[in-house]
Amino acid sequence: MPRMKRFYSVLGWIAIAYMAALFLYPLLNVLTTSLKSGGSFSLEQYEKVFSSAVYMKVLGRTMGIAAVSTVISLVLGYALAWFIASRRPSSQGIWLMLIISPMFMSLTVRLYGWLIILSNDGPVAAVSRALRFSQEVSLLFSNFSVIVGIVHYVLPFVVLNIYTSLKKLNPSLLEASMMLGASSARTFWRVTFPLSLPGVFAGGSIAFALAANTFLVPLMLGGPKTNLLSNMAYDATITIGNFGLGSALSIVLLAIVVIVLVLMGVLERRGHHA
Amino acid sequence: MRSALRAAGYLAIALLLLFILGPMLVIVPVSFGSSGMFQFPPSGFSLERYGQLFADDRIMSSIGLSLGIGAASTVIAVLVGVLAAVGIARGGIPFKGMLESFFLGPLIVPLVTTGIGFLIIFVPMGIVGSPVSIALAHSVVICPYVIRIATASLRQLDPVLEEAAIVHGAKEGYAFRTVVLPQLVPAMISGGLLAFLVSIDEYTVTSFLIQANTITLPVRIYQLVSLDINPVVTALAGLTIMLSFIVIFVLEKKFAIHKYLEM
Repeated sequence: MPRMKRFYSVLGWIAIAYMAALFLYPLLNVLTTSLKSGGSFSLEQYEKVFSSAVYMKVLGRTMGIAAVSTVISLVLGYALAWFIASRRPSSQGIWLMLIISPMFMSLTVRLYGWLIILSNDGPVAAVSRALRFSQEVSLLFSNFSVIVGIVHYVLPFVVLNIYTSLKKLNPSLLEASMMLGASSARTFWRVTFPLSLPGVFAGGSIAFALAANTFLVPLMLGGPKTNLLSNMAYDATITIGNFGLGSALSIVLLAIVVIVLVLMGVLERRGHHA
Repeated sequence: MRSALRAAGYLAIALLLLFILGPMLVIVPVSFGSSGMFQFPPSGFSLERYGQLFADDRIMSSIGLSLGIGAASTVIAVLVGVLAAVGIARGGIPFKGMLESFFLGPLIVPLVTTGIGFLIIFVPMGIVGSPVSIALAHSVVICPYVIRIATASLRQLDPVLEEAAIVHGAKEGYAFRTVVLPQLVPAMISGGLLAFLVSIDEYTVTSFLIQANTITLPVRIYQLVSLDINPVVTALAGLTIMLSFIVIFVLEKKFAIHKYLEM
């Protein structure tokens, strides 16, 4: 039906125009701002970023924290998705909603909750004092508290992706594997897990992107020594007022996220052919 | 052996549930307490903080501002999102794969990059800090949520229906309005709802655009928790959590919204 197709293309172009003006155009402005110094083209801002020990350290910390949070979220997310998928079909919906419910709640509010839990007057400190692990418990404003916050933030997205791929599994494959004499552990590792890999990769990609990009989690749960790249880009732009440097830092972050996502995609496709 | 393993599994899931719900479970009692705002378990019971909350003009104006910005940006996002979705799912625009990634771009591009971009283009226009600038920025950030749900929904619809309308002499616009749009209503509602929730909780992009008289709700909460350390925020946080749980529960009971979230 070419008439309808043409009509839909026109509608699509209106949306493209809107996103080009308010998404692509600002993005290109960030790029050109980062490549300018005193009105002419220059790589000065990037040289500043890559030659500074401080920025390189923040870059390394951002990648490290994002990677650790992603791995933890995948392990916990897989267990939770598995748990939901093994409930009766009629009760899976309510379990799923309970487990991903934090997704619908204000992140600022949830991080305030973590400030209470991890504070010196909070339940974790009380328990560890009761068990005499240590006298002075200081969990907040560290890499630890930032990772806890990030995992709590990205976990619902990971659970959703893995649960969806587990649900698509054909139960007759599992039955066939069991009937042919495979143990349940062997069935899991040889049939279930490989077939759920698309969900693991999709969840891992989202988790890494959200973790590497996070701004609010280190702002509220981190200290001055746990700033991540997003915070550095904000400080450079707003606090110092150096748009060029802030733009360059944010473009470096964008580049890293895109590279990691592309690598994950390649890894997944390799796995399919192997 | 087997049952011990099973018990260990259930214990692990119980601990994970405690981790997931923990932040919410501590805030509500603290909001009804009268001790320090970072102390748990709290001592004493008091509704004082809730009384202060409704008398606090700054918080009330932030709530109004965020609801207004959320409503405006959601309307734009649903409009643009549906147009984008029909373009992707049914149109003949070349490079469709790239087009889809482009529309989902705001989910991948760091929010600080997006925020700096808006700041750069809004400064010369003189609108930084206005509610309009924040609503426009939000519309871009939340649009992918609508696009994803609307595209998935369109792909499940049968194009034969619109073709039948065209064959019987309907104009394109009429066929779209009367045949396609009504079928997209559930996707528009669930996508719009998700988009609205993201807007009223958006912190990062917003923090580049706010001014003293346009402090949105999440920025206000951050300031009260981390800078002012003002206990009135416990009531605001407690109220938010209780309302969210009620809304999720009702939506799941009425519309089984989990179906729209599966990816």
